[in-house]
Amino acid sequence: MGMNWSFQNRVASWFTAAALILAVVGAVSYRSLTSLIDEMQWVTHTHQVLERLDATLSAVTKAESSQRGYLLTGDKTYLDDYHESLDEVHTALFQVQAITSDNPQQQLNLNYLESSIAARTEQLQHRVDLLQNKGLAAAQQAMVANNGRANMQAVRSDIARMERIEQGLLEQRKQKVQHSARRAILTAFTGIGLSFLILAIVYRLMNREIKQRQQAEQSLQQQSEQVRLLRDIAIASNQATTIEEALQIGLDRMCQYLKWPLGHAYLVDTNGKELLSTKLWHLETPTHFDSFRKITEEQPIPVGKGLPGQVLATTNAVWISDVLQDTNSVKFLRAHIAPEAGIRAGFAFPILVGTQGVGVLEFFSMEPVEPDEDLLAILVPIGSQLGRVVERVRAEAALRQSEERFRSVTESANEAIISADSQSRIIAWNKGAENIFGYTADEILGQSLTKLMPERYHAAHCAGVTRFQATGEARVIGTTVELEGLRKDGNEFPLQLSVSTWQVNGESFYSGIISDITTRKQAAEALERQAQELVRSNTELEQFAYVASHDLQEPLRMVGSYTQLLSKRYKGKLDADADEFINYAVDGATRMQRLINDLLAYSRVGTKGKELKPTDCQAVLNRAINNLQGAIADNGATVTHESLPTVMGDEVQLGQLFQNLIGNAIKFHGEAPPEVHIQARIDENDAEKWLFTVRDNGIGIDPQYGERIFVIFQRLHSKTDYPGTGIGLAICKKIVERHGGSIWIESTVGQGTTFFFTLLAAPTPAESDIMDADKRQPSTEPLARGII
Amino acid sequence: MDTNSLVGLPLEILLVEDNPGDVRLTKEALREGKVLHNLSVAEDGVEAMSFLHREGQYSDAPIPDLILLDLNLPRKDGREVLAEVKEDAALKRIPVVVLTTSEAEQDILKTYDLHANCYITKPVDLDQFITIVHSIENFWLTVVKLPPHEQA
Repeated sequence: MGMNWSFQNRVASWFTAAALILAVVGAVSYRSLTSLIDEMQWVTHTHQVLERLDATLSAVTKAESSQRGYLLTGDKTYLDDYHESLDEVHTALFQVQAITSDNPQQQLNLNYLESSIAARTEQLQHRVDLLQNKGLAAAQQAMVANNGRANMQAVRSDIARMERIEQGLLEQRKQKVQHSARRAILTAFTGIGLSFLILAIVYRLMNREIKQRQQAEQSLQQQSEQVRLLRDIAIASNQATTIEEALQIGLDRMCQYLKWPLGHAYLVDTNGKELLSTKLWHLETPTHFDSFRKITEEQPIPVGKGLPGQVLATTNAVWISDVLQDTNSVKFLRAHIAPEAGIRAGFAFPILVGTQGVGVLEFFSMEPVEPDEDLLAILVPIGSQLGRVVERVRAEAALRQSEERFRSVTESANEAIISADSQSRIIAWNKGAENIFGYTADEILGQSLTKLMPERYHAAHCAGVTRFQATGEARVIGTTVELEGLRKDGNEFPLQLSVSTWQVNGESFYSGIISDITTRKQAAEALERQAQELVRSNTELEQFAYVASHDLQEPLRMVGSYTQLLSKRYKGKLDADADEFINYAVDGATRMQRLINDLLAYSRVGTKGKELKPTDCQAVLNRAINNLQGAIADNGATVTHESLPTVMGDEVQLGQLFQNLIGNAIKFHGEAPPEVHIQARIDENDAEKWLFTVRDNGIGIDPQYGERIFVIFQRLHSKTDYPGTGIGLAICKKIVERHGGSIWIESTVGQGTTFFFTLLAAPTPAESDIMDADKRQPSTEPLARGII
Repeated sequence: MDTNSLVGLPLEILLVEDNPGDVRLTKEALREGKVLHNLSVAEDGVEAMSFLHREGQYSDAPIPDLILLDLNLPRKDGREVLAEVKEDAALKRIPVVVLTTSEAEQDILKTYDLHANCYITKPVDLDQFITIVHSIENFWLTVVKLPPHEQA
């Protein structure tokens, strides 16, 4: 509307401009013409003056010749002519007088002329008078003697002067006329030219406008055709019951719209790697495309290859203006059979489900056709429409399949799968339910769920259902609970139940999956009993080890003390055998004491351990090193360490851990003096732990014994080489494990061993602040604090 | 008490110990010592209390200057003996040295709570045992001043 208005405006303004210019041109032309006419009048006027002057001269001449005739002949007719000529002279002079009245110079000249004429005529009159009075001879005498010639000369020269002036004026005025005439012509031409120009502009303007309107109408028509196309395909898609039906409608309708003879559909195969040709075609002339069709149908297209493959890969429409050109951005793989079929242009677009291509439609023309951008723009919605059918049909198939699967699962399940309506009436009952509860479907359908539960649950069940329906608060739904069920024969049994709910038209339905867990429950109980048994027996064993080693110490002390006393008092006083026996007895007792002490220490790790709290390893290590001063000095050992963190630990046990490991490192030294280095890093596998290493340069441990060294009483060396009970590392392992860590070694025989162990990091100060804050929370209320 | 020493009377020690091996070891250790003493032995708590209260066969028993008390005793154990001694106005001044194999923390705390004068764990090694008995002897019988005997 606005465009029309402005167009009208523009045309109107151009016309106004043209009218104005024409008016101006008219006015200017009018003025030029009027002045031209004026100029020309003046020219005429000058001609008149000249003509009158000529007439004057000829009248004067005529009067003179008539006078001369009269004088020569005396004929009276000459006299008449003479008088007539004089009249003519006067008339002419009068006329000159009249028409030169605007020119003072000519008036002045006229005066001279009049007087010279008067002088001449007087002379003439005088001779006429002489003739009439004195006779012909006197008159002729006077005529000859008289200086008539001079007078006549004066008249002539006066006239000539006036004529000269008039000639000059004439010249001027002629020039003026010429000038004016030229101007008038120029003006007229300019005006006409301008008018033509404006007309041309208006013409062009209108022409363009009309063209635009035509184009708009055309594209409107095209758009409405496209809308029809889209609508038709959408309707077809909605009504189609199979993918094939929808695709065929799509192909036919597209070809009808395009007026192209050939359309064809591909679908993606199940693994999504290839496009498989369908048997769906739109063929204007079926037999004509036989070979093209055959080859197309035989050839699966990998994603990304050829026209359809490229379309599927990019999920964009692709247009090939001429399949016979090799300049196409997409290679047309069937170009070799295109000439036979007469195919020139082609395009293809994807069938989309969401953003995923599930198929491709391709169309071909017998002429080269440049890409139609408008059409390309609606191909994506068309592809999506068709994709919806694919999606719907597949969803329906999946639904059928899923229903089938559900039915088969339900029927074959060992579990009872039971559904009930909002009134707790049983509406579905599978074989599993029959097996577990003993009711057949016929017996139980329509009955209340309460039939399946012991009476003590009835009230709670009804309350639960009511509560759920009123408030949506679910206690059983969505979780798995263990309850007792009631079989048809009246026996109770343990069951596991998970319930889900769904809504249809505002009514709630429930489904439960129930397993008979009698066996599992029994097994679990047995397992639980065994576990408890194991814990108890473990505890007892530890207790036993502790008590036993403690109580063993008492008699052992006696044996040890008295063999020592024996040795002390009687060594060398009895025979050599006695001395040797006593030695063995003392040695055995001593070893046994050490063993029992270690065993006590080992069992104490479990029974006498303290609560884990933040412990500064640095201080612990220093104490351990201090305790080992003797061994360090004896062996010339060097113990170095980096700064150690604070961990969650039992100070005493950590001390023992370090002492055992460092002592171990010193004890198993090689040729070189022992060097032990202790360090700690954040554990790469668990940022909440510290990884400690105790590295030595000792004899090393064969990796195959890496586990064995941590087992109690396991020794790798003879007692003579390296004395010991084989319990130290077992204690280390027990301590580390009690602290929630693990311990292992890496070692190369002859080069040294590194013990690794992990310990839980102590909470950072910030964390403990938070913990403290949490603990403090209840005490913020003064009253509460008072009560506490 | 110094009167005892002055008049050359041996110091009276009561050893409450059920294990004859320990009794003998203690005797041996004390014998090696330098202090003149007289060692009496009670084999259980009941006997020890009878000795201290001079009951029955112990009517002539001396009032001990020092009691060496084992904790684990038949019939009446050392803790009960300790408690009774320290509650008895006539006996509570007698220093009681608990001499036991137990290293249990709770035993240590308990005996001190019952006003034991010191707690000593019997060492496993003979030499150490002897050293400890000598230490006890040296400390309690020569270093410290014991309360004078009240005439009953």
